[in-house]
Amino acid sequence: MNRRRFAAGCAVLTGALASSTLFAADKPPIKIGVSVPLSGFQTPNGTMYRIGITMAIDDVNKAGGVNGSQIQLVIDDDQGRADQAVLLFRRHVADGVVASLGPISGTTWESVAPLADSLKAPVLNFTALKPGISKKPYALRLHPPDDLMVPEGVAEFVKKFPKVKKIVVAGDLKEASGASGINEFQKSAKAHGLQLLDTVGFDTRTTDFSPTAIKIRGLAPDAIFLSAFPPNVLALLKELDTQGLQVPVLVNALIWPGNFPQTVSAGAKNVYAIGFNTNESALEIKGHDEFTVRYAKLSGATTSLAKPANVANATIAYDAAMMLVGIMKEKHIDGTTDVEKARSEITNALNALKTWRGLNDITMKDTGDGYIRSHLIEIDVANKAWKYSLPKAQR
Amino acid sequence: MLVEQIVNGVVLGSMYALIAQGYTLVFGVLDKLNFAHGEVFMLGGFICLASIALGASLPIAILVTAIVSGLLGLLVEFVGFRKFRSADAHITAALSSFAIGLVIIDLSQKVWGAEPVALTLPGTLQTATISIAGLKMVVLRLAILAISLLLMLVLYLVVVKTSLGRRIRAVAESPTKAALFGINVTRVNQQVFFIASAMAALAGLALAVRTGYASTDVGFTFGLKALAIMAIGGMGDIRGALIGGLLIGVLEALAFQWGLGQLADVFVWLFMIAILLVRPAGLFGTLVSKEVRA
Repeated sequence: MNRRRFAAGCAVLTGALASSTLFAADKPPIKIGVSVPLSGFQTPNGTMYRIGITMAIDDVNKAGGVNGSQIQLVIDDDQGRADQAVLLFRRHVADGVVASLGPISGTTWESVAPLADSLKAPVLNFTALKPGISKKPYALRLHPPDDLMVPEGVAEFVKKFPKVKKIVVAGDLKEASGASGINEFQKSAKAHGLQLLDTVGFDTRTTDFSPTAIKIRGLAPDAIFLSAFPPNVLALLKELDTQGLQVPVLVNALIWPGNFPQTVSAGAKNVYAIGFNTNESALEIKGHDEFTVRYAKLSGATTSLAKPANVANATIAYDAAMMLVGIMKEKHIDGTTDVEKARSEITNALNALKTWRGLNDITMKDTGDGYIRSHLIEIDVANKAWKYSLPKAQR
Repeated sequence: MLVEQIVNGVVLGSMYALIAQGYTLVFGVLDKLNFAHGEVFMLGGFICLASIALGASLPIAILVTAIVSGLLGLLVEFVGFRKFRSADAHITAALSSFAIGLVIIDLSQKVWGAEPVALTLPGTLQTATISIAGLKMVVLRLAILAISLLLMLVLYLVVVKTSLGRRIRAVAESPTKAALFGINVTRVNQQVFFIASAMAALAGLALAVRTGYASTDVGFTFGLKALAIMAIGGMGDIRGALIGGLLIGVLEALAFQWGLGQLADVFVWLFMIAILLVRPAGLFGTLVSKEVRA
C-alpha cells in the first residue's frame, strides 16, 4: 500500500513537474534591453556591467525565470556614443522589451532619458554621474550622481588631508559627466573653505597633457580635484609625475569602474577616487563576497578586462536587473503580458520604490536618482585594486 | 612658464610635422589622401611596446618600429592605392585607405584592448631633466625634438639631393612622363609609402615614449590635425608641413597656458580657416602647381 502510494505520489509529482516545465517552456520570454559600450574606450566599463546584468539574469533563469517566463536579454553595443544609444533604445522598444538597462555614460543617458519619456518605455541607468538628467517617470537612475557623490568624497578627502588648503580643479569640459564633476568639485571646495587657484579644462580627445601639467604645476596647488575619463587621467598623472608634481589627486567616480587600478602606474600612490564598493570583503552585505568571487571568475574569462578583477559598481548592474525582476514577479508580469501594460506597471512600481536593498542599499530620491553612501577610495598598489581610504570608524 | 610651454609646443609640433610630412609626401606623389596614415602613426606606439615586451632595447624597438611600419605602408599602398591610380579615383582611394585605418584600429583593440597600455621604459628615461638658462627641461622631450628635426632634415635631403628624391619629384610632377623616362612608378610609390609610414610610426613611438602609454585613440586625433597642418603648410610641400606642425604645436600649448585648453582643437581649425582665407594654397603651396596636377 505504501509502495503504491509512493508510486502514485511520484507519478503525480513527475506529472506536475513536467507540466510546469512544459508550461514554463510554452510561455514566451520576457525581453529586457541592454545598451552598453562593448567597443571604444569605454569597453571595460560596458563589459563589467554586461557581466553584472548577465549574472543576475542567469540566476533568475536558473531558478525558473519570472512567473514562468525566462528572461531574454537583448544586449547591444552602443559604442559609448549618444547617437548609437538613441538608435538602440528605439530598436529595443520596437522589439518589445518591457524595460531597458543603460546606456551608461552621462552623454548617452542625457540623450536617451527624454526619449524614454516620449516613448513611454521604462529605462534604468546605473552609472551616469551628471546631475539633473534623469527624467521621471520613465527614465530613472540607480547610481548617485556627482552632486551626491562628490561632496561625500571631498569631505573624506579633507579629513585625510587636513593640510590641503589650495586646490586646482581640472577636467574634461566637453563630456557631460566630466563637466558636471568639475562643477561639483568647485562647489565642494568652496563648501570646505578650500582656495580654488584655477580651473584647467581639456577635452576627451586631448592626447598630450604636458601643457596641462605645466599649467597646473605653475599654480603650485596642495591637491588637484580632477573629473575625467580613465585614459585622460592616466595621461595627466603620468605628466604630473614627469613634471615632478607630487600632490594628492582626487578624481570623481569616472575612474572607479573599468581597468584603471590595474593600468595606472605613474602617480598611482597619489590618486584617490570616490566610490561605494571595493573588492574588499563586506560580510555585512548579504551576497557581496560571493558576488565578488563569481564576478572575478567571469571577468577573468574576458579579454577586455584587466586582471585582477575590479568589481567596483558592477554590483549596481546586478541590482538594476534584480530590481526589474522583483517588480515583474510582484506585478505578475510574464511573457504573455501585453508589452504596453508591462511597461506601465514597471514604470509605476519603479516610481513608487523608496528603497532597495540588494548588493547596495539604494534610496530613491525625488529627482529620479538613487542614493548610495559614497566613500574616498585609493589604489592598493600591491594588489592593483581599490581599497577604502579611511578606516571604517572614520568614514 | 610661458617659455616652457612654447618649448613644449615645439616638441609636440615636431611630432605633428613628422606625420604631416608623411601625408604630404604621399599627396605630393599620388595626389591622393592616405587616411590610414593616422592609424599607422598610432600603431608605432604599439609596435614599440610589443618589441620592448619581447625583450628588445629601445634603439632596437625604434628600428623594428620603422621597418614593420614601413612594410605596413607597402601593404597600404598595395591594398588602398595600387588599383586606384587614375586621377578620378580620389574618393575610392580615400575610402579604401579609410577602411584600412578602421581595420588597423579594430585589430589593435582586439590585441591590446581599447584603453591605454603602459609602456615600460628603463629607469629615469621619462623623468630626467636638465636646466637650460634657468628652465627645467625634460631630456626625453629635447631628444624627441632633436630626432624629429633630424629625420625631417634627412627626408628633405633625400628628396632634394638624391637620385631617389629626383625620381620622387619626377613622379610627383607627372607619373606618365616619369614612366616614359624609364622610372618605375610603382616602385617609387612603394618607396614613398615606406618612408611616410616609417616616419609616422616613429612619431607615434615618440608620443608613446613621451606620454608613457600607447593608445588606440590617438590615430584619429593626430591624423586629423596632421591633415590640417598639411593644408596650412601647403598641400604636398614638406617645408610647409614642418612650419605648420610647429605653429600648431605652439598654438595648442599657448591655448592651455591661457586657460583655453578645452578649445585647443578649435584653435587648430580656426587657424587653418584663417590661413586658407588669406592664402588658399597654404603657406608654401601654389594654386598653379595644384591646377597643373589636377
